[in-house]
Amino acid sequence: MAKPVVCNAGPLIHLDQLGSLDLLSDFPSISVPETVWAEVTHHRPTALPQPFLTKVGPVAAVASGVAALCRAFSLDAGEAACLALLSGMPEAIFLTDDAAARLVAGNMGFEVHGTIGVLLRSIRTGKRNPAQVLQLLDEIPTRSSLYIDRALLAQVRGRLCQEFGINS
Amino acid sequence: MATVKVDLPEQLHEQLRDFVAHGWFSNEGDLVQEAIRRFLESRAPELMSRFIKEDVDWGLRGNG
Repeated sequence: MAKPVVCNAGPLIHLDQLGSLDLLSDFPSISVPETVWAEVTHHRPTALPQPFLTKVGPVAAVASGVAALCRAFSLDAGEAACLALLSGMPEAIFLTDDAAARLVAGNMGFEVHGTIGVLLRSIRTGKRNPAQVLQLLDEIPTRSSLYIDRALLAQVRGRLCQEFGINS
Repeated sequence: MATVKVDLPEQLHEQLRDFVAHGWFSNEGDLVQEAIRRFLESRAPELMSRFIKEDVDWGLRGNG
């Protein structure tokens, strides 16, 4: 069963760049802190609004211990707001493409995934077929600003081909 | 600037003090900051690799 989501700017921007924002539509709720909403509006205005995205704000400040972690790991205001929101939604999935935010949230016990996970999940949920996801993976370097090492992307591609018996 | 309080094993703290005493860093806080920064920089590719693998597993076989 799908879990509620707290979403950072990266996946919203990257999925929109790939024409795949609809892949988020089957989560029961997707909360976007207003600072993140503003960030996405600034960098990718076409991504917002969407009927399945809920702007949440203002978000209460994170606890002092979390604030210290945010500073130590150079997390921005949007990422800190996501962590604050997650503190009240321990069952939620946190979607982010930022490694530092992911590291902090993971160590706080939250389930964290990123754009790549959402793309592959779409096969499981029936929104895309393996060939379509393969094409999206191939388009990441040219159509999106998501940075992923090419060797790593090739590994993901290889895993997908292996999983579904596709000749790469 | 945030303050993070950590407990260090005595041996590690001695090593840290030695670095400061020998002039490599002006104080223990600067050394710890540099250590965290270097850890994050050096581990970034490794972390990304781990995160992407987790994403693939969740995407293909996870629930939720």
